[in-house]
Amino acid sequence: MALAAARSRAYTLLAAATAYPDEALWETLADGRFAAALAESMAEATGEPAVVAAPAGSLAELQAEYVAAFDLGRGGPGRSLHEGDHRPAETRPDLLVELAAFYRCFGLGTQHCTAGLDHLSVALEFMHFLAFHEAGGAAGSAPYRHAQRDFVARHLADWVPAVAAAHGESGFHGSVLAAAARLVAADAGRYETEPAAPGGVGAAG
Amino acid sequence: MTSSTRHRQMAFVIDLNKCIGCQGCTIACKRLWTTAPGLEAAYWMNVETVPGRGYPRDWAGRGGGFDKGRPKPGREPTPEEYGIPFEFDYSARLFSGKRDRGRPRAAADWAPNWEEDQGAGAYPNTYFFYLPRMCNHCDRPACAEACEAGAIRKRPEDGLVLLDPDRCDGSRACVAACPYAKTFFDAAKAKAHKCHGCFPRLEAGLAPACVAQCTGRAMHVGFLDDGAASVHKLVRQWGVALPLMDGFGTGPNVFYIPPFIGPAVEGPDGTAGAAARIPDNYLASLFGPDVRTALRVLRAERRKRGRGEPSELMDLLIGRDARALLGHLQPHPSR
Amino acid sequence: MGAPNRRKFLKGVAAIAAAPVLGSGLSLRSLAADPAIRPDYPGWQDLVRRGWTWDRRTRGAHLVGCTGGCPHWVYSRDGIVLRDEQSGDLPALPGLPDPNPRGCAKGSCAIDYMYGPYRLKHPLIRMGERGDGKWRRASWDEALQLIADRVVDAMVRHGPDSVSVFSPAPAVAPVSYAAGHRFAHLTGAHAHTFFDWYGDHAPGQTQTLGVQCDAAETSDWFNARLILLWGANPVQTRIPDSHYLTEAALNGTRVVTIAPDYSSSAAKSDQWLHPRPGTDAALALALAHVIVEERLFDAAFVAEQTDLPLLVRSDTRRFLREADLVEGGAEDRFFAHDQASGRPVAMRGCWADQPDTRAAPRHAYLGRDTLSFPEGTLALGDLRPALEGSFRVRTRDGGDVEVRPVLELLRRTLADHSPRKAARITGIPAATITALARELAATRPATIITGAGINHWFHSDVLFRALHLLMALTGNVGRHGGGVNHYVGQWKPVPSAGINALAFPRGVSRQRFCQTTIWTYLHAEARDGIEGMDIPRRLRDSLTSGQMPLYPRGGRSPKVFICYRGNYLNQTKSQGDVLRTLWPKLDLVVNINIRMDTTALYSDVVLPSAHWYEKTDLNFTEEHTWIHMTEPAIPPMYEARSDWRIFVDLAAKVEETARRRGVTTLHDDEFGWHRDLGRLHAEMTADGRLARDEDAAQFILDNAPETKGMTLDAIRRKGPQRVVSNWTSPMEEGVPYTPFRHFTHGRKPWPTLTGRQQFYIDHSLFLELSQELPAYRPPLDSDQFPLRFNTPHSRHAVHSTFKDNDLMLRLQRGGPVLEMAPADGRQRGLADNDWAELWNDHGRLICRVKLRPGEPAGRVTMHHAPELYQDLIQGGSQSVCPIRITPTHLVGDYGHLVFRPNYYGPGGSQRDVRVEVRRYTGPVPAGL
Ligand code: SF4
Ligand code: SF4
Ligand code: SF4
Repeated sequence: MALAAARSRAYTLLAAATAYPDEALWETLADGRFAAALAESMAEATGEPAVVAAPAGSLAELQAEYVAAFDLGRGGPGRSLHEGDHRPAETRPDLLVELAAFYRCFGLGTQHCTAGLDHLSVALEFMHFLAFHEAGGAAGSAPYRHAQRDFVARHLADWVPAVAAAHGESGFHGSVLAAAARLVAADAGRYETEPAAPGGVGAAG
Repeated sequence: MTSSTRHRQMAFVIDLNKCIGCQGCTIACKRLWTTAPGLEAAYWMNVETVPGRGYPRDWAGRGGGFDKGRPKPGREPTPEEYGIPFEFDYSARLFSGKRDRGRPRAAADWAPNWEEDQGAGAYPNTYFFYLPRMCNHCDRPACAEACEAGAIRKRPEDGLVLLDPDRCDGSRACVAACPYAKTFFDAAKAKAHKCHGCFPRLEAGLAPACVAQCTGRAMHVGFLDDGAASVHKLVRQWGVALPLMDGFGTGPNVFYIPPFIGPAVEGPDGTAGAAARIPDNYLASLFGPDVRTALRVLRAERRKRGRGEPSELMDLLIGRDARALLGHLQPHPSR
Repeated sequence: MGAPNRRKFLKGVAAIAAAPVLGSGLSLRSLAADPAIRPDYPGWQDLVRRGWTWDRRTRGAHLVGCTGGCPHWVYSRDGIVLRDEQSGDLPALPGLPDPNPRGCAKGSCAIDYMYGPYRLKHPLIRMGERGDGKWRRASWDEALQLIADRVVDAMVRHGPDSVSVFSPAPAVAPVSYAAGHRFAHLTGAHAHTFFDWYGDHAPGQTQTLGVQCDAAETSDWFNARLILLWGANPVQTRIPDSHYLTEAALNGTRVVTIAPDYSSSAAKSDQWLHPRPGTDAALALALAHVIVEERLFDAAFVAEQTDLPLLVRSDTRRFLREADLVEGGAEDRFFAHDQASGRPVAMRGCWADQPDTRAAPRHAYLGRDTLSFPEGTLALGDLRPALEGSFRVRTRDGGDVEVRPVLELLRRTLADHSPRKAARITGIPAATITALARELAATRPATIITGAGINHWFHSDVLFRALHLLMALTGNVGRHGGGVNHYVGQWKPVPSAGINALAFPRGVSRQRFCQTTIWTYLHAEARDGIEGMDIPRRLRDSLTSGQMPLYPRGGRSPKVFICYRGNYLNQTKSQGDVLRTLWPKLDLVVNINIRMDTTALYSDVVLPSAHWYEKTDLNFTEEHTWIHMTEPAIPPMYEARSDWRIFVDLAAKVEETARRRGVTTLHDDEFGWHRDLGRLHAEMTADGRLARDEDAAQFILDNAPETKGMTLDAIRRKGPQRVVSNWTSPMEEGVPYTPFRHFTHGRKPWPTLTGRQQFYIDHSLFLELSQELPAYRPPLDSDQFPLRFNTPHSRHAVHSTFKDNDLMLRLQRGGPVLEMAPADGRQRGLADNDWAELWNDHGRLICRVKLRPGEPAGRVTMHHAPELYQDLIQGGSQSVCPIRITPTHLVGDYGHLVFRPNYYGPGGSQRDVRVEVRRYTGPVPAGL
């Protein structure tokens, strides 16, 4: 359970850091609390701490950097934080439907999700939510665990490492992405060794 | 299959006089069936300008089909012949200060509709028309015969030639064998795939997407043995709808009304002569020698309308009611 | 700074915004947890399976500059649009081919603009130089505040008319169109014309008929027995209507294409005539020559419906007017020679017959309102007006002058346009011309279908007058299956009274409208390269005498430019001058858009607007007579808002800013209007009655005779509804709309000076230029370059929309191409798909070449207006096309020839451009 709690914490920090930077994030960056919290939770979750590069300059500069780095479509440098940008535009509705189904199945509404359903920070937030409940509930934790495993395999593991690689490790966002990729990879590796869920992977081919 | 099963054949008729080359059918099909990653280059339905090299490039010269009843070896088209799908990175330009323009990722030197409106003949005697091409759901599918895994079968109830991906072993034999280049290979999944006649729609009583969305109202569909269906009348009664390159020996079930309306050849003094601009021989090379009779019948019937006399054939082709083109099928889901 | 407050403005998000970054609890920012739901996770396959059915079907329309007006169904689930398909529920008219399925391949890609990489997600503020594409996100509050500050600044410092608002095509999305115009109206900003500017308006039609434009719905093509596709290529540019053409042909109708290239439509025709580019009027006049010489014309129709019997003084070349004959006689009463009485008689229906109060048009699309003119009639009764001969009349000052009917003058003019001469000009054999003229006179109904192909010539007006002459001589006007039908652009906002009431609540006459061609020409200080036509002086005269408008008043520069639902910068002619000279004059350029297009790219603030499937609006077209609608299949994605809401929000912000600065009252001397910015938001929403898109849509329906009694809800439930009345003909049950039947059958006077289809225009400028009658004017040769440059519409795009769509580009060559005759290419060492450089004195573009055998030698073609970020190495089609102002379009002081927005004014010609092309040998950038 400690592992799940640490992962939950790491995921929520990464979700905050991959969203468009706001003042709340900036405060925790400025005084170093963010870096410390992430380093600690990543160490627990993956066995290796994450080193986050402190952003230089102002919040406005970080925001401009964010737009320039990530508000990209598919193709090109391949650094968009939208999963749908990494596949043909025509297939985006399928993807969104599936993501919405994942969220809805856990009672999560998307009505406030202005970033777009397929944004990395939303996906990381979803993982945070699942891991949080996995950590909290003893008997009822199976669905949360199975959903995490499928969600990582079908989505995050598919594109997050590639985006992180395309972006490179430099800068605040580079280091955050690298951490996200590492966490996702660690999860994917762990789940591979777990048995399949009823009706889950492998059951319906 | 029991011997009591009635073998029926679903057929398509495409009126090349009404086809405007709008690619509505191409996109209707593409969006419905072949958008998954890895299928970008595949067009189960494509519309090409002829004379031209077509899609995939020079498809008609790759072999496949049958020669005097015996399978003829064919060659699988290369990715370049299909055309490597263009991809763009507009967003780098639009949102992140990249100065250069959005350019196709692959070298742009071939694509499924590369020769649009080019055709043949020197100005002013240029000519061209549009040829929509889909799987012919052949009487003797070369694709199926070539498939040793038995993944392709012609189903009796409507004659559609269907490929079962679970059985497909990825040998690609069908891709080489189809003389029309209408079986495709998905390298990502290592499975072949092809037009399935929109069978999920057909089973719900709906016309296939290409037909239902053809805004030129150029496509007919229906059972060949359904006396009430326009396909039956055009193919069987009037004999004006002809298969494409019947010589491949597969017995296609997509039939074409040859283009018979068009300006005549122009003489050196600029006045129009009597001969049709599209050479009869060229049409015969596509639709066989019967095309001459078909053209004669079509022209004579149209002249009747010009004189104000009735013509059942022209009414069939006009198809005032959209449903008249669809045999027993419906155009859209009812509410 | 917006970011800290970003979330505050998203409705209902405030609670979540508090989610801490640090802390060990559950922290949700984007997802909203419902604790009542207990998870039931069946495995992903089941999720996918459950997901792939739609649970919502809504109505959808493509709110782009498209005339298609194709009703669609939009299928969605869980706030995700899955696909759209033609709704197939347009009713068919008896005996005519089914209008369904109505749509096109581009339309099937509509949702790519929701989900594709071009979509704008958040308000953006420019960081680098204009056009750099460097942005930062802003909150709505910050972005609107920035705009409001600049707008209030400009209003206070430079006057309200220094703010400029551009949005075209009301017909496709009248609510969205009205949004920014209502804002402009209430703040005193100037709005723009677009129909003339984009070259869609045919000035020759207004000159002849006194209407902005009107055309038959396309199902009427099926009724024609002879169709002349004159410079039109509907097979590519009117895709959902083309079937009526091919079906008419199958039905025995003869189709003739008149166009220099062997087009997709030529291939569907029985005959193809290929005049040399720009010589169409010579052909038209030669056809008229034969019809008049051989007396094949419909004399009764001509006598009743046209000005051909009206008498013209030989001494002054002006119409004989009542004022010439009697003291105190009217300047605008005209005469014919009555063969019955042997005397000149005043003809009914002319301007002077109509009391002044009624002459002012209710409808912006008519020169005057003859429809509500109770005594107005063209019926001749016992009159037998002479169509030929020469007569003498005694004027009131005792003179004895010769007068002749217009037809007599016309005959003399036409004498100079024999088929033989036309053959030399056009290259079409004389015998072919004569035969076509005879066929035209003998076949009824016959129609001319035309469009931008000929309307974009500098001298398109004389050409259109010649086409109208042909249809009038043969009595084909107002006849089902007949007439000159011009289909360029989305020019017909059918319920215009309702749209105007919404957009300009205090009346169109109290709205500042600039004429965009003139506006751009002057503010961009555009070089037109024309010598010897005295255009600057004529333009000055027209402006100083108030014939044409210019804003801001007094030659000042515009300061704030707000462009929405239009790609002004991409489409503008003289693009180089606009970027170099006009753009720097603007303190603020705002773009409101669903996608990052060229105009957005060169803006300062970009606001994301709702996609067509995320908002409510109506949809109209001239191509059929059914109204339909679009409605939100899902709420606007990301932070997008509907255009209506954006301008309501902006109004609130401007009000707040004006209050804060204490500048709420502004006296507007031009209209004597005390503007109260303190009530701007209330006025914008009519005190809350028009707060929502739906309210605004219903308001339009309620305020136009064409849509009387209709409700949004009925359209939603029952499907497209047919308009109950229309512009120039009554709506008849089961019969396609054919224009002008109020005049031809109801015998109401035409809305022109003379009350007739007017082929003779005795304005001094027309006389000076010898254009009082239809004439042939060769294309301009201002550019000293060998090749003509032709920029038609494209099959795969609606102007610039869909130009960048991947699926569409894969069915082309991946980017814009220059089409060229193989011989021209060979001469320049160009092979198919080579890179070429095209230039003239105005600019340069570099793109790939496609050799097309159907293209005539001496001309090159590029589908117009690719986006400036597409695969060209340099420039775009508009780089080499200057703005050129036709002098006759500047007239605004002659009966029905007056400036009214989109009714009359200089058009958007760009067909007379000449260029040279050579192989491009510079570096070719690698693809991505
Ligand atoms: S949709 Fe119809 S008209 Fe258009 S290309 Fe296909 S077959 Fe031809
Ligand atoms: S067209 Fe080709 S793929 Fe289709 S049934 Fe015939 S042989 Fe098979
Ligand atoms: S883009 Fe135009 S023609 Fe195509 S479907 Fe939409 S409205 Fe119709």
